[in-house]
Amino acid sequence: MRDYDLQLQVIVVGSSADTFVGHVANMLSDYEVDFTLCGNVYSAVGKLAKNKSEDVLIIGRIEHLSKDQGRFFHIACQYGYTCFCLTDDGGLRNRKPILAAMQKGALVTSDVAELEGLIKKILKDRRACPTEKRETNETQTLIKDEFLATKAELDALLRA
Amino acid sequence: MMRTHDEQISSGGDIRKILLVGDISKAFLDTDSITNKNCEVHASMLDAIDVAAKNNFAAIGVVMAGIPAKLSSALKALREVSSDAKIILLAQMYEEPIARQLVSSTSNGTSVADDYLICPVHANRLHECTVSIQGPAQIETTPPSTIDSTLETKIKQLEKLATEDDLTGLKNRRYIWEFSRQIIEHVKKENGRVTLLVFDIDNFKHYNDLYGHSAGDKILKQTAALIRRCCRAHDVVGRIGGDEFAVIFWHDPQRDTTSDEAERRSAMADHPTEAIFISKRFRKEFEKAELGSSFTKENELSTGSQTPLHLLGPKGKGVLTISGGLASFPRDGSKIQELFLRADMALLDAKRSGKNRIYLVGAPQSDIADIE
Repeated sequence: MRDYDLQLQVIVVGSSADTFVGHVANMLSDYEVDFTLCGNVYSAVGKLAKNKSEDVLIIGRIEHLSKDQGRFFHIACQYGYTCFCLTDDGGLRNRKPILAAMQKGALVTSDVAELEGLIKKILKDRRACPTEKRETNETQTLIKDEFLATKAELDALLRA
Repeated sequence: MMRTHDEQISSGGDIRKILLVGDISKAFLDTDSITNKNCEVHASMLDAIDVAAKNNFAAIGVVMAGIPAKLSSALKALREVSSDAKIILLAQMYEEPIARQLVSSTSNGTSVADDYLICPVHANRLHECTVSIQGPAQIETTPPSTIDSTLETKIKQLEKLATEDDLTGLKNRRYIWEFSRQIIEHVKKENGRVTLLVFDIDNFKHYNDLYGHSAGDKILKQTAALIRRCCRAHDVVGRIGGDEFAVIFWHDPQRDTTSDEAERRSAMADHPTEAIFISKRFRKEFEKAELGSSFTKENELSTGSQTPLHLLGPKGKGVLTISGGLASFPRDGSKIQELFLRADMALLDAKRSGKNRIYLVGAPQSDIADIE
């Protein structure tokens, strides 16, 4: 876990047996982003309410997140959190939950690959640093060295 | 004795708020008075979990009707965010089996819910219930709570007396009728099906006369235990007369979506498949059980002779059997009276045709043993 990820909280809603959840888990691990897995939307709301971080990304299938007439999106929106929902082609036929989600600022897509783009963008915006997947040891060492050098410069300035 | 909110404050009792979740119009007889009772109401379970996480409620009342199917998941989340609050389920009569299950089920060593009330109730009952399940420390420091606790126990005893059969512990006739009426009203909205099984023990009067009433009572108790074991947790079983029993088979909304589909398909089918399957199994189990085989004839008890009971049943083979009738809503009647009448007629037909069988109302092959 890199230091600059500390503020970002990712909550994945769904069963660990779900292929989408598995895919998301792998991808987040690749970007070294910690996440919490919630089996259902009720447990996710509990996590949101107890959460201290200002930056929260919630990822799940729309059929899970839109339960209870889309109240989850309403709550997430109140906190200013971002929801990313996956819908399948069948889901597109039932537009009501999708519209409700989008009205509350949720991002809805039927393309799993879009999620990776979103993660990259979020990390890029907040880190202003490389957003590549986990690389070789040399790359990681380089990043760490750069960070240590910057920290040393800042410490020197503070002392002055 | 019930104390008012103000009295609770003056006596140092718990003055924390009560959170109510769901459509309270279905739960309380005096919905208007809820606002005066230090309660916060949220129609949505998700909103309630959110609010419960940020506040310290004394109790949470959950109206079960209308709450999404996965109630146990929602209750677990509610418990997680608000571990101090007592969770009380507000159940309709037909939801009692589910409520009982939820109260007895645990998650991480804690029960999912603390208690349940059968609705509609007066709002005061929720407050009484909340006070009566407070921790022992609070009861010690506030003596009036002890009084409330005794009252609550007495109310529970009275409720039990009013709804249960003393001998077998099954539901009584009054409960079965009221439950049937309510469940029919409920499934009408969901195009579901309710199936009623009425059965009695063949030659039971003869058995009672020959071996005495205490032996007869033991048979009734064993029959009750056996039918309870054969049925699903949410089916409601009652003793409605001397040796006459009734079972209400119905759709359980707590089951997962796949089962819901299966149930809907089953409801569209000609026969109540699950009810037939369970009834068949019960009849066979009953026949095999050799109930009362350890008893002796009453006149032999005094002499100490221990002749096992092998005299009753069809053709004197020595086994006890049952005969029954099955009727379904909506196919065989739209009211509970009609269903009982049709099921009773089928039971009589089964008796006339030689006993030890269960007849399905209106089926071309009436004996359910012939139905695949």
